[in-house]
Amino acid sequence: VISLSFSNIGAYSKSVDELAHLRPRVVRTVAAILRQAPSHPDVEDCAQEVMARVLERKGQASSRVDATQNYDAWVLGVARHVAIDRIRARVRERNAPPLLLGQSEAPSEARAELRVLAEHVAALPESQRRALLLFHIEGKRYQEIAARMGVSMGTVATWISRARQELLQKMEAP
Amino acid sequence: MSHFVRSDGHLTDAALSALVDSEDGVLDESAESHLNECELCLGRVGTLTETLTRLDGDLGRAPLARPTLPWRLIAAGGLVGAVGVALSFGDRASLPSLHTLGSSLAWLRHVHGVTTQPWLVGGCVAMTVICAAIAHKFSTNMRTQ
Repeated sequence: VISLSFSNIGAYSKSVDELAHLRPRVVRTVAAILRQAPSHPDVEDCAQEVMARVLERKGQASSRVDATQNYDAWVLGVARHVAIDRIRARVRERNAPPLLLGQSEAPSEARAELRVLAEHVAALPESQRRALLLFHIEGKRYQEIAARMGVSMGTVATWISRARQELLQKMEAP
Repeated sequence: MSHFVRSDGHLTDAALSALVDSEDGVLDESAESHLNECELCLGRVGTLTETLTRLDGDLGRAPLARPTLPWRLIAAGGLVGAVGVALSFGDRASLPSLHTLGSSLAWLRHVHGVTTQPWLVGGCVAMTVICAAIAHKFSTNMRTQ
């Protein structure tokens, strides 16, 4: 038991050292995504959260890290997710209105605009519309969508992205 | 140009969109390594996250085709199951009557009937479930086509 504990402490110390070395890059990544200065409290919070998550997941991640030999990339990936989650939370905390609902005060107008959005979705090219609905409405992952539609995941990503751009453009148009 | 890297070396919107959707696995190594170094693309990730979070809200409220249970087909499956269950109780007549209580042969016949019923009921329930699953599959395909 004692030797096991010592080996755990050894692994833990190593992770802390590796993380300390990576911290400036984690801060830079988070700051860039949040579009804040590195000294901003949100950036500091996120960086701390990244450190905590990485240390927590060290055991789970070891196999993946060994396989890819890219511990740095993995940690920076965690940093991106933490920053993205922070932005999503910030948008929800601000209770920022959805794009369409924000444009009109009256609920009836908003409902009409949402119907227009549904029409825009219906007018999308078939492959884009199917991919978007499978992702947004049915909650399928890219891999499942790719398998169902018989295309690569890159194609699915492109279709979903184009569908969103198309919708955003149409919604912004007068 | 790949799905994920533009001709100018920066990531495509599809790559950033996948990242925001937590689908990092689709990115190839070159896209991943570019992202780890490029603050411009990281900033685009931030902007896109904000926009897509709000778009998600709209899509969640829009009257799009939503998954609905295929009630008619489930009802048909249920009917088949119910008929099967009813049939499984059809040999109640073989229940030993009071005056044959003492007859071991009548009880044996009844026990034999009971032991075959679970298979029939199970088969009907399985048929119902299969009907529902097929119906759901069909309705899903129809919604997304």
